[in-house]
Amino acid sequence: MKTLNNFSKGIIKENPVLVLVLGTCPTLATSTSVLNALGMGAAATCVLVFSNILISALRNVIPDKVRIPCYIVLIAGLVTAVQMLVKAYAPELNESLGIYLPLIVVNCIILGRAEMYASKNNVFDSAVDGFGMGIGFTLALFLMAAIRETFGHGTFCGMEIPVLKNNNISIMTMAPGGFFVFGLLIAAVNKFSKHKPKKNSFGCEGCPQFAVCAKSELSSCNDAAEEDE
Amino acid sequence: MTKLIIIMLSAVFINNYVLSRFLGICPFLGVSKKLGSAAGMSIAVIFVMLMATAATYPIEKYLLEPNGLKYLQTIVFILVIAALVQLVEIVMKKYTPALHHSLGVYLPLITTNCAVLGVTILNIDEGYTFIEAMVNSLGSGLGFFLAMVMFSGVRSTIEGSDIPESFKGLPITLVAAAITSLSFLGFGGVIENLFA
Amino acid sequence: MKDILKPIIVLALICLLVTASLAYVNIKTAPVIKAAEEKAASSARHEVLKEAETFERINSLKLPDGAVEAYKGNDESGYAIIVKVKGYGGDMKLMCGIRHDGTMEGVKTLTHNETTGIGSRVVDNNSKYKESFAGTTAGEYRDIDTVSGATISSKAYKKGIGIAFDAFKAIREAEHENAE
Repeated sequence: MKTLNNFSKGIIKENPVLVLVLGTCPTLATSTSVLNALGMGAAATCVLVFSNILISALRNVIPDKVRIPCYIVLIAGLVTAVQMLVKAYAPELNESLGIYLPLIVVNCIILGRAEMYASKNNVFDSAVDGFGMGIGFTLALFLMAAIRETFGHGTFCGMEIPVLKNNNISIMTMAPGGFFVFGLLIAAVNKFSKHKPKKNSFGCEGCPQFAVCAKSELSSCNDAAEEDE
Repeated sequence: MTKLIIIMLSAVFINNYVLSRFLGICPFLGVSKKLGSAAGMSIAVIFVMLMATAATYPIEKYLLEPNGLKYLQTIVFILVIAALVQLVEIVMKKYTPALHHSLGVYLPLITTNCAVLGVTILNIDEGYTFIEAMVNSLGSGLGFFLAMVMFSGVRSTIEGSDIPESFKGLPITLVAAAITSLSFLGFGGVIENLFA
Repeated sequence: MKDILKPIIVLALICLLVTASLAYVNIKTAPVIKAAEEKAASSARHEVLKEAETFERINSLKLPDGAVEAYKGNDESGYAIIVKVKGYGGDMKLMCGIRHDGTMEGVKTLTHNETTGIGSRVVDNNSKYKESFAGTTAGEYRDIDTVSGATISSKAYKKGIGIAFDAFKAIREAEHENAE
């Protein structure tokens, strides 16, 4: 039961994209088509699960002082491995994700989960947490991409949709459409969730640098924290 | 020379890192609330982008490529950037405390800013020469600055408006970002035709 | 002292282990990546020149500037020529299939860095602009208009197609000389 909760919190209650608002860059950039979104989601989930497992396994070995560099090295290594595998077995996906594939390294979700969860919990729980978060990320990407591809290209997974195909709104697949759809989705989540729309100011708590920047007085994150109250 | 100008202008306006490539969205949404912090953050980003390119470009060309170690690119670049940011912060703190006071706080935030890693990798992918890579980094940094400063203006206007309950906070910010990025689309044709 | 040494040793060890395992993955995947690239290249050749079943690379003559690789299809089906031109956002690589009689059968964009929504209207592999070149000859392709708002991209695209025709001409001339 506990495991189930641990898994499902990443999908709904603490959805990394729509509730915690982390990993916005790949969400906006790779959600132009459903297949891209699913590919990105799968790659990130893979990295997330393994990075959580590794970091949790090494949590007693890694000294506190160098933990962030250690996490970055481990994550970057995993991302590179995934990148090579994608290049080898799914070259088209590599082509369409382009720069965003290596940039999984700096995806806040991964470093965030390492710092907030994997460094404090056992290997099994961390793996489940990583998997749940990954599925949540993929789901949010899929939602965005479904809306953008349907209206922007008039297709779904590459299949044509009769009427929309000739009346597509191509701005949806361009940059402004990305911001717009993301804004609408978060507004919808606010509307239908039982929580007060309080969490929706920019989520600094999840940011891996939060501890560092909360210390400095001038910190911009403090501004965001004030906004929260 | 024309090529350098085109690289510069397109990095600032057309392939704007924030508004069209979606890199560095986190600081764009998080730090753009006040004009002062928006400007401080983006100046720090320009600085780190230039330093990072100056450091990673030679590493790629003289160390990784000749030895067939191209696959280590991601891991080497992110470590170099992280180390560089730390180093800059330490040096700044020691020798220019005033500058550290105004910019230093943004430095740790930049390590995980995807715009910085993005610009270093793109410089290699696009096959730029060292000069072109530096110009591209400067342009990308300036583009980030422009987007941040413009957007902080937009946000201060939103602040005083009456917004539907569920749109309060982030959603309206994102819708505003959509409109800001729409305005940047207009630059596309302009610069293409300037040099056509 | 121990406080300083331990983090350094742990970090160095992690770096070493990660790099070692990456080297292992690289050795395992490098041949697969190469094979996948090879396969993608050959399927691109078939896409632009449907009649040809096998292709043979032409190495014997110097191609005009901008033409990177040229392949000859079997049974006088035609030629597949890869050209590289400077587009708006960087280099674009096109694969052009020219039939034996000198008409363009199809063009495929291999790589490009054009702006999404602007230059991409020219280079996208399902763009109308691309289709307008099908069936043109060396004399006709220049008459095709550029796409408004994406002048540099379309000019570069046309230039690439021009280079492909030049390369075709050069290859044919060389073949005639050899035949005589």
